[in-house]
Amino acid sequence: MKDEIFDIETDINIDRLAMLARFTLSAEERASLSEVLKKMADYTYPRILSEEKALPFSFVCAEELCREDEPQRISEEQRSIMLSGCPSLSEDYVTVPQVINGEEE
Amino acid sequence: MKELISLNLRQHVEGLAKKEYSAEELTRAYLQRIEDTASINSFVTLNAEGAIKSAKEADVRRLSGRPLSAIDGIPYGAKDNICTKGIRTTCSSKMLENYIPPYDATVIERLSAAGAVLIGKTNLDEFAMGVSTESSMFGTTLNPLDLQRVAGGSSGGSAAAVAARQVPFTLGTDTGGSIRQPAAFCGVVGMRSTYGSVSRYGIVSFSPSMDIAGAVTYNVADNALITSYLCGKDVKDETSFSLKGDICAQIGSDIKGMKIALISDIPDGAVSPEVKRAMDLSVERLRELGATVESISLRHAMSAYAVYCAISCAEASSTLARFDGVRYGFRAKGYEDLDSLYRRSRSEGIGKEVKRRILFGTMVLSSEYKSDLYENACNMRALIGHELCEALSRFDAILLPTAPTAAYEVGYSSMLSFEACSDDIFCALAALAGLPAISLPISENGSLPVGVQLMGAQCSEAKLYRIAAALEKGGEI
Repeated sequence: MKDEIFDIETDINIDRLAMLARFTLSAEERASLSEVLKKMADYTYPRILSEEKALPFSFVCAEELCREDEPQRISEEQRSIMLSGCPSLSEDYVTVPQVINGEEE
Repeated sequence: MKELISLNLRQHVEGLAKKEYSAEELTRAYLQRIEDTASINSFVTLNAEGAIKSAKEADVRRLSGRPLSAIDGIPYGAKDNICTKGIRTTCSSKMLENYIPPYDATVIERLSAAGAVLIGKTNLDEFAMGVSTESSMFGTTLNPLDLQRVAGGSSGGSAAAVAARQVPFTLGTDTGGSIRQPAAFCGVVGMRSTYGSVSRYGIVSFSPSMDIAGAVTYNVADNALITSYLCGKDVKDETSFSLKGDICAQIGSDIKGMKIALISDIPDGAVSPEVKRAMDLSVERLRELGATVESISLRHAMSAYAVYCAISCAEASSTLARFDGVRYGFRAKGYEDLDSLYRRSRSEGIGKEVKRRILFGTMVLSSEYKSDLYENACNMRALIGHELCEALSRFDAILLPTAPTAAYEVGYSSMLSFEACSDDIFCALAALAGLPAISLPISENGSLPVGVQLMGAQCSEAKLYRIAAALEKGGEI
């Protein structure tokens, strides 16, 4: 964890960010956005630091909700909709090569 | 006509059930009202023909004794980032100026199944990013209570439409306060329910871990009624689930013995004198009703806006990457290759505020800053979530302001582009933790209303509506 706010002027590369975000910026935009991004980072960084650690979304109380790690109840209608969209093996539509002992059969 | 539009939603439910007037008359009355108050600029697309057709169908059903639901035939507006089949959905952006979705969002399907009549699409800040609708390509929505002021954002059009009696309810979306803040500015009620309780399918994504659709209405009971139609598990949204029980069931019950918390960490001067007064009046009223109100400290609460900023912008940079001029939306002319197609389309099609957020989000997720900004923000989000959930295991609700001030003048937020968004500071808490929160207006001696907010534990909508209804009843000053 850094002890001080990083130096945006030496670290940030507005052109690189624009390239990543697929934008072309005018000279005026480059200047004004650089300044705003610095303000945003300077505001954000010190306020999000903490010595305490918590797992993401560990605060979600699952009692009232369906848990992702429990088998989900699925209705017959949903099952039939999913199955109707799948190609049938008997139609030879999908072939999965069987590899046994390193050799494809 | 004037009488019809002055009624609230529940009065219309009764009026239509008793056949005091027809759905067609009602719809025409609201369409006329929208035309008479067009200067507010709340609607960006009207579905007049479709609405009248739907209203006539609703009347036929009622005459044959088979209404689809209590709200069959009641008109409403939907924020223009909610997909509506065959009706332009622009997100108030040049990027989607002529986009016509081939499908309805689940919330629209649910209201259609109930017979509600979609009258039009309401204005918003571009891609739901903003606090005033001033970034909308259709221009700013004005506050019906004072036309020199903004209606708030990003669901400004939705809030203004209800406040101006253009429709009895609207749908908005709330990522970091975008239903609640404009509701506060316009003097109406706006609710964000537990994350996942309302399907996000068909809502143009901004920050998927926080986006949710919700109702804007004239009062709490109306809001509960509409929210009950919106909620429920949707197979097309795997983050959705069904709330247990009837969320309207506790409205009207007293709140004696309930415990309400006040966050003591909000510094003096963080809110305007009017908001402070509204909070004091609310505390007084809650105590008169028999609830206890106690101060608590939430160590991490004041970091909420910073966390929201980092995470929402990071998610937005990802979700808006799809707008590249290829599959749909605006495509620039005169590009030389694929890269210039992407760059020109995005640069020309996306506005300044959205660009700023995408760039910040790109920075947050970039390899140089990810561990400093994104991972720390996620950690702080979890800490805030734990703190809130622990507090709400001891209290029935937390009372806090919706926004630091009343509605400000048009043009004010553009002078303070980043700082203005700190209006989201009180709304960010519920968004980050996925908690339900409702904003109620408080107005004293005819002054501009301000909003107070009640935030509850996950899935506590019924209790939250109960407390809000009790407070609202005593909120007429």
